[in-house]
Amino acid sequence: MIENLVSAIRKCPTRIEGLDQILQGGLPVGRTTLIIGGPGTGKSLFGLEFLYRGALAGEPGIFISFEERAGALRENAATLGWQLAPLEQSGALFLFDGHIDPKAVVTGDFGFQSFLAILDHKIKVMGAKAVVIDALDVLMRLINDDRREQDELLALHQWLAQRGVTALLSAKAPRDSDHARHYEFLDYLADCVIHLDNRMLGQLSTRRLRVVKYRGSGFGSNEYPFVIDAPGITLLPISEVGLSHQALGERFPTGLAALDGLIGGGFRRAASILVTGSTGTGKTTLCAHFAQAACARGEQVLYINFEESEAALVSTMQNPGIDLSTAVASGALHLLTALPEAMGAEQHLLRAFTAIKAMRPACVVLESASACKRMGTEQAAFEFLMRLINICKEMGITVVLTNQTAGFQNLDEISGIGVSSLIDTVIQLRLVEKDGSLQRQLMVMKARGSAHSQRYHEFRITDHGIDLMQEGA
Amino acid sequence: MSAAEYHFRLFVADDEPNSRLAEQNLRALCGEHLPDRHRIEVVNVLEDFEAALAAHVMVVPAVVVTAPRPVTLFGTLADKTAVLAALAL
Repeated sequence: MIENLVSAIRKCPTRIEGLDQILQGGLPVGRTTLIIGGPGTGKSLFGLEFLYRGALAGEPGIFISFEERAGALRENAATLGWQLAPLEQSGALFLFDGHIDPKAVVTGDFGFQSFLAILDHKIKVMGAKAVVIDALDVLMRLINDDRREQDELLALHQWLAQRGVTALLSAKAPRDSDHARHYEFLDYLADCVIHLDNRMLGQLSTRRLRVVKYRGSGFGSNEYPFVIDAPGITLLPISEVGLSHQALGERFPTGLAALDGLIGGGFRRAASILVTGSTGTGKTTLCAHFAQAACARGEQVLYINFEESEAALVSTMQNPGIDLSTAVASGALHLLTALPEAMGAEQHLLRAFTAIKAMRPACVVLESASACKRMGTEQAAFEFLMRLINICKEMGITVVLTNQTAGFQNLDEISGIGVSSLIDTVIQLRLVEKDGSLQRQLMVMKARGSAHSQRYHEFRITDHGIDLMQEGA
Repeated sequence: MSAAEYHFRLFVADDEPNSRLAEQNLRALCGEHLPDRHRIEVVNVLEDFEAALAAHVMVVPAVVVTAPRPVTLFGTLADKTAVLAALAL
């Protein structure tokens, strides 16, 4: 049975953010994993982070690079905030400087006994469980013979298997078919194969990871974007998410004093607020009030906008007299704009996550949840929203989302995308005909942890913003 | 022709065939081209892996020439033309 097979594979966690989820637990224990990617795709750092986090968790590891000098690796690690020195001193990590002198002359046959002798000794002395062999292609390039190269790879593979270490080999992506043939053999030997690449997507350079093979195990088969930034590599695979939310915090003003009055004093920190209504009901104006007030209090606001550009939003909000330009200029208000179609849901999420991490905003505004469906499927939109709300809740950030509704539907659902359980407060905006004219109305439909008004309240959009009546309409 | 003395560190793995061949080739070459002006130190990496590590010698046989001009040679030294060119002989 498949289930038995899966459970038979022991996994070694990489402890790289998001990767173990994709690998359904980690790398295969005592087996060989191959990581292939072009220059600068992050192969070495994957290996190094795997060993670094393992060493911190008490699992000694050895890193051999045939290309990079140990000094350069230590410098790269330092830029990510990894302190290798104490681990090297305590014997939990060994950086093995095996760089091959490019000027060396090959004068006949040779074997790998030397590096294997060093490795063998270090494995025994350190009790190493994990070995990373970086830039194996540089070593292989010395052997100018396909047949011998295969023999040496097979011998290396068997050698590693005999020692029962979890091995991660990296090699540069092939450029020509000749090299591709070599990697085919490596692909075949390895139990798990991971491809990395780095390509331009719009104006953005995007790193991606894909697991192409995992013997005896399931794996996430998408292309996963990732970032390399302190404190390390981050992947955000979209899938089921555990909830570790912060409790709702203190109240703070919504930006509209009259609205504060309807919901017991204001929104709560770490709450998620959905502003729902059909087009032209004033959702953006409400968000602009909220963002402007937060910035005026000295808070940082990240405004994720899938509907209009920064310039368009700032100029549109001048009509109801809401000045966002000051907050934009001061950096308190940061707009992250993109068309939903521009990239996949995971890339959008990573982009938002990166911005949130860099900015640490008190509030996030997202316009609009309904536009997220254009990222691809409804499922992708749901997962994007769920992860985003989750990230905000984990970090104690208040998030306001708008949702454009069309016709009759469950108003605390996002256009059929069921994230309502993650939404704490729902504010409905609507236009109704009254005495021959259209009247704007607002109702607080739900406010978790707050007593709130249960009636529709009339409001107007004036040249000094939203004017909300406290009395019921 | 320069009269400089050549210093060779030959890294071998016990007496496996390639290592043995490299030592034979090196001694023959020295006898022919560098009589009385060479020094050969043989390092068995299986016994002294620290020396291999310090010299970044990952493959065997390998010859690290430390003088007169530093250069590293990998393999059995069977390609005599390449060896002589690398040693500037």
